[in-house]
Amino acid sequence: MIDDDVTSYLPLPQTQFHVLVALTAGERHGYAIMGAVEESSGGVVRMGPATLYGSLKRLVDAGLVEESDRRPGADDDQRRRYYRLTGLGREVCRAEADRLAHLVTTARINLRPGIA
Amino acid sequence: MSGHRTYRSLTLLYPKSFRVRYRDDLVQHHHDLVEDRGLVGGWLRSGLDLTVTVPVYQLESIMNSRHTALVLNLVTGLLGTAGLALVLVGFPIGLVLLGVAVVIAVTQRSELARSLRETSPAQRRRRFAAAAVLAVLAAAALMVAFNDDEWGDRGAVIYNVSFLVLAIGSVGCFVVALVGRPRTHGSMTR
Repeated sequence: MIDDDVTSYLPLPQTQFHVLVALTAGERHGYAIMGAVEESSGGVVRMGPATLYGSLKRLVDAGLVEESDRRPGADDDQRRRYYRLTGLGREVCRAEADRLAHLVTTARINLRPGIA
Repeated sequence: MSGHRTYRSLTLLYPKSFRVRYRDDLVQHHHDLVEDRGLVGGWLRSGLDLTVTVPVYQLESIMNSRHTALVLNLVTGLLGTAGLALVLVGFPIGLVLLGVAVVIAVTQRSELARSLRETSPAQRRRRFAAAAVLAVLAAAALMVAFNDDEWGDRGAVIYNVSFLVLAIGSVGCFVVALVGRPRTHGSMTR
């Protein structure tokens, strides 16, 4: 059951949903999020630096994503910031996935051959 | 040289709040792009992104709630000051301030409408307080207009106009405070 607090965030803009999905796999820094989004979308969604950080800013401000305490390894740039999903972010991501799944099911049913 | 300094300079085009928070990340991201995809590929992605996002973020920054609240407070403050100036200083300065308030209200009407739609409890309280202060001033102007014969016709006109300006400001504040509803966190834009 989805509560009102979660549904008030839906529908999520596409880029924000992609970012949330990328973070379901664990904590990531900005460039890794971009790579994950590109990979999961088959190269269809390509985000530039400001598009990505604009989405992250909105997600952080909305409490769906937070900056992680994790610091980069010794071989990586120490200034990198890592991000992770909050509990609310995970719930919203799940609710959006359910919403889209329902939409896809409806589309498939309606588009079956023989249905006007 | 991948032009990091150039890209860093170009990030000055973003609104300050975004730039202060993410400038280092943006430059780092651009650096990674150039390393991974080459100078042309990296700049193509960053340049296109910059071209699309700068106007969007600037527009969002202009339209944010702080700005709308500022416009409303400015118009309310000017109306109040205009009313006071009419009482204390006389027509010229009061009318100029009134004119400025009207011009700002007309040119920024969309911001005022937005401010009317979205508000916070603290803003509502401030607007009720402003309405109360303006109402007291309006009542004072009206009482002086009725009771003070020394000012003659010109004085009576000044006090009547002052009353009108202050009363309109007071009613305006009250209506804005009354119909404004709290902001919701779910309004996430692209």
